[in-house]
Parts: sequence; structure tokens; C-alpha cells
Amino acid sequence: MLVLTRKVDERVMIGDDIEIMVVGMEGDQVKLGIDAPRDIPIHRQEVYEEIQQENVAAAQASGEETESVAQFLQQEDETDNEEEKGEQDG
Amino acid sequence: MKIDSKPYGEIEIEESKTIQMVDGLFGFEDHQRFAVIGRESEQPFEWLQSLDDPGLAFVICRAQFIKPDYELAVPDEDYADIQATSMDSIIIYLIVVVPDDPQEMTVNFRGPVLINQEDFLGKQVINRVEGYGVKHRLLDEIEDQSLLQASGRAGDS
Repeated sequence: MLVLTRKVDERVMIGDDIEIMVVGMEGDQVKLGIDAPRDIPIHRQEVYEEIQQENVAAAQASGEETESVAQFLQQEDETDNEEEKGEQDG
Repeated sequence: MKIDSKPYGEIEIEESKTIQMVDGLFGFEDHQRFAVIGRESEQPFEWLQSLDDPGLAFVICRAQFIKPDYELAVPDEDYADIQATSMDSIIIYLIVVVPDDPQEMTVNFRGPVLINQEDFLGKQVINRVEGYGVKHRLLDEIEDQSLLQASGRAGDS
């Protein structure tokens, strides 16, 4: 990993069109400003990691659970409809 | 074509409907060929089944069933990757986590899977809409709406 030391308001260029500026420092937090073309996605690393973790958790599902949940939802739904029907009748 | 699936074992799917997942899913980048499979009894849930690994499958649900006003804010690049020219050709799927207690099921609003149903290209994207997290309790989200209505809408498409 390339490590550079920069002061507030100083910049780093990545290629021709990505510019990163140190906007400010507060305690242990560094505020960065990033100029990049619109088609380059920029996200905090945590977002990637969170989605990755959710995918791993989602991959644990087995068939039986899904069917029982679907039936549970369908039942809930029937109950809702009956309630609505009851209201219309009354 | 016959495939080996995690939820149903060996099943038959239409070869033309296999999905090429651009970059795979986060954490599963090596798996790029998938199929969406499902059964009536499991609606509104479906499965995103890896064709490279029968043991890898994700429970998914169309976003509109859980949140009819679900919004999407992703860079143009994401649409270009799946060669989508119009929103009409895109199905937005949300990935569902089913824990031991199914009542605590959660759904990921932050990382939806977009599938272009015209060319069967898909991609998991990061949705920038404010307030969308990776763990929304599904029962809280659907409290106010009728799922039967939602499955009626599924028949239209």
C-alpha cells in the first residue's frame, strides 16, 4: 500500500480524473473530499462489508423455513382480508 | 436443462432463463451463473440459485411485495452493466435472511439485486437511498399491506 502524508487542503490525484482532498481533521477523524467522474461508485468500506455479511447470512437458509414462513405470511394475509371484509359488511 | 438446486434438489429450468450475474454477489464473486426458481407454496419468496454450486442459494423477494414504494438510487454505470435501457425491463429483488425464528426474518434494502429480464443480466448494487439499511425486519415492513394483492400483481408480469 502506498502511504502518503498530506496536510489539510492538500490533494492526491489518482489517474487523471480522481482527486482526493483532505478537507479537515477532528480528533481521530479525517474528512475527505473526493472528485471523481459520476460513473465511479464511491462507498465507505463498511457498506461493502455489511452487504457481504448479509449475503453470507442469507446463504444459510434452508428450504423448510421458507415454506413455513410463506404459509405464515399467507395466513396473516387471509386474516387481514377477513378483517377488511368484516368491516365492509358492518 | 436439469440443474441441482439447494431447496428442491434436481429440477428442470429453461436454459434461456439462466442469469449472468455481473461480478457475482458481494462475498460470492466467483459465482456468476444463477437462476431464479420458486414454487407456488413459497410465494412471495423465490430463490436465487447458483448454477456453479448447488449448495449456494439465496431467498429473494421482489422489492414491490415488501415495499411498494421502494426507491432505487444507483449510478448509471450499474444500469449499463446489465445493459438496461429502461426501468421497465428491470426486476428489483431483495435478499432475505431467514433466521431460526422466522418472525425475525430480515430483508436487505441496501444491496438489492437488479435483473434485466430482457437479456438476463443481473447485478447486486448498492442503493444510496437515505435510510435504507441491510437489515429491515420483514414483518414490520409488510404490516400495512396485503401480500395477497402483491401476489396478484406477480401474475400480471
